[in-house]
Amino acid sequence: MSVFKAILKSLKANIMTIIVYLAIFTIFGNMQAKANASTQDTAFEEVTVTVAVTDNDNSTLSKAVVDYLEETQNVVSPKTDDPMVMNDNARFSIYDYALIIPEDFESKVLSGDTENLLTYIAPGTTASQFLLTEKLNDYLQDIVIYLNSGYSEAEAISLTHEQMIELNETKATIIDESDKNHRSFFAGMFLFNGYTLLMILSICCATVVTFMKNKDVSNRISVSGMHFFTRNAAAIGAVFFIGTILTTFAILVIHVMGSVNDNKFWFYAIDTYSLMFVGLGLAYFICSLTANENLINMVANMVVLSMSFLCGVFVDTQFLSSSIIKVAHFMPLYWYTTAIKFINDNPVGNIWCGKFASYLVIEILFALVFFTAGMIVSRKKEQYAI
Amino acid sequence: MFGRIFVYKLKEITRNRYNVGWNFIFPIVLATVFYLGFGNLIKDDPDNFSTIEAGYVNTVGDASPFEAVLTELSEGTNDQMAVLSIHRYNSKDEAIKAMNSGDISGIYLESEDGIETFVSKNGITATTLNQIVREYKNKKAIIETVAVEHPENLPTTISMVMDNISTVERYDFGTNTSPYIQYFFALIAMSSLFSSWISTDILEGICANMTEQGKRFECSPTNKLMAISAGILAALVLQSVTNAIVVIYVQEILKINFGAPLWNVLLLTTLGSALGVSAGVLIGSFIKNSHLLVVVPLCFTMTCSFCSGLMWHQVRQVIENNCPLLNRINPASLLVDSLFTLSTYGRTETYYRDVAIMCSMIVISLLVSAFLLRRRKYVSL
Repeated sequence: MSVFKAILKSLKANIMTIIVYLAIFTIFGNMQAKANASTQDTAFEEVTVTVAVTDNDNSTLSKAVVDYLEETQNVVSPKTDDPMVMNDNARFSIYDYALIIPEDFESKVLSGDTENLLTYIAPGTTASQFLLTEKLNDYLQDIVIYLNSGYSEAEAISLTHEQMIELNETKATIIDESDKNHRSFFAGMFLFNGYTLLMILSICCATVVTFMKNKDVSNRISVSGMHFFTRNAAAIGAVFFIGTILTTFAILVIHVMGSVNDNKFWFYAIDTYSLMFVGLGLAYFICSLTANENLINMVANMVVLSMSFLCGVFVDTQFLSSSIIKVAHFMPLYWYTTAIKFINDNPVGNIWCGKFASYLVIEILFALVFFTAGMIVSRKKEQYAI
Repeated sequence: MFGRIFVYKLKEITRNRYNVGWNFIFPIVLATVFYLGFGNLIKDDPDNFSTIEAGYVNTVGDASPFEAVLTELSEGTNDQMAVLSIHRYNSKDEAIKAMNSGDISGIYLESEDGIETFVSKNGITATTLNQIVREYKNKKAIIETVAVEHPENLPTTISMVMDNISTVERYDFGTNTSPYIQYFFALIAMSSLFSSWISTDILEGICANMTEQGKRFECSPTNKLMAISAGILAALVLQSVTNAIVVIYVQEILKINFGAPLWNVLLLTTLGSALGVSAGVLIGSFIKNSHLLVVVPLCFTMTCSFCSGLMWHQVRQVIENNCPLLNRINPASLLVDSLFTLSTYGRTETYYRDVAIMCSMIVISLLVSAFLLRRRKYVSL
């Protein structure tokens, strides 16, 4: 019991690491999960584009364009009159589209000069840019056609407006029958947890095991009279206890943050406990390489951060190239994220099957590979007195 | 003597595994990870418009004007890709099966009741598919209105509807830098600021109240200013070379084009290294606790890097809109901004402003440090 207690006490040294990663998890994980969470749709909802409008004309026609945009889109202030800053704002998604109405806009329309009346700034050829350009083009084409078909300016604006209101009734019908179209809040949180939990476990458990390897500590335990089996069982038990406590705490944090009652939650939790073994295995492997805390931190950062990028934690696997996905198959985090997606995409009744079990087994096998590799490295180091 | 101290400091820094790991290996690993994660997104942005796979079911039987519109939209031009890729189905059920399996994003059903659009989920694709039907109905409504109220102008109206006038044009900046490249700029900025650790290490080695080495240095008859200058120069050389290797690795091996001349990028990263080193000297001259000498540069680097967009690429622009002063005093943001401006717009006024602020920061940091470090006296050594 004294070995067990000593190991638990040594964890105090990592309290800052735990707090920092849990803070990152609760803030960024929550933000990412909330941003990507969606539920099954029942009614059609039109996507609105955030557009910044600069009206340099202030004419009846330009005001009609702005009114139309305000009625149908999310109009915001451009915050600047510098096109470069507008471009940066559009590029970094402060808004999706910047529309500049030039001074001579109305006079050009009335004089029959209808080519390129308005200027827009948008990042690349995005889908939202295409959509809004089409809508604006459609609106202005209507006005120009009415003006050239014998209507006055006021009549053209009024007729176009009426038509646009009428067209709002044209709506698509949603046939949403698949969970694959959506990602739940829990799926998002547990995905991000793949990064933070692995970081916490690999750093904390590696430093704890390193503490046990300390010559002074291990000598003192050796002379204590405690049986070889008892002291090793206590050490292993303490590391697993720390792993279980940290994993359970992370799962509880997710449970508290998720306001909705998702009956798939326990499947996510089972997948997370499988990942715990990977974290412990990785910690053992890292501490077999070095006993230096700074190096443990650096190696854990490099390994876990790389896996998180390649296995779909930070960037969804659909955006990764097929060759990277093939490489990711040889990383444990990939099977964790695949299991998360499997849980998200399937109804509760279909989750507990051979496929899901195989994902969990692969994760545990990876953990065993890490333990074995760690043992081989430790043995070789001992053999060659490194 | 200057050369001798410079060479020894260079050897001392390069033999510190911890510095080499964080300042050289970590940025290379992170750049590789960024490339594997975002490389695809830089080359092919997922937000870019792509041809929509749509199904079409015609239960009326005859060739309809709407079908002609869909055919027109599925033909791309030299400067514009096709809007739709139409898949024809015999029944609605067959089309829905294809939509559920992910082959198509939506279905147009043309029947006696009119045109209906079916989609599997809400989103930009669903809105675009719906917009096509709206535009079709809109043009039909115009022709019907003019035919009733101004029949004499109907030929003009039909001709204008068919002409498809382009009333909106794009503001052309010449280049189209991907927002994801920001991550690489922020990475270089982080790597530059990591050099603050090197300078705090150097200062630790010359301060008698911090290390044994410092006591020996203080007793030696070496000029202090010269020793610090040699140490700073060694740190600057090492960090500049490290940054240059990272830049060349990203540009030449990972093939991520920064969109700016290499010499100019290297000049900026060298300036960034100088900024990191001088910030470290300033921190080192203020702090006298060896534990804090690790924690403070780490917090300083990570906070500045976060605000420059290392973890979330939008953050720098959000700060620019709400509190631009923060971007003017954050060394990482200044370096990222100068690199981004250079690659997107060239050497503009903003670029020169950023460079000028960085130079001023270096000079101020070194002057303040010199003031704090001069004539430091110890009661006993």
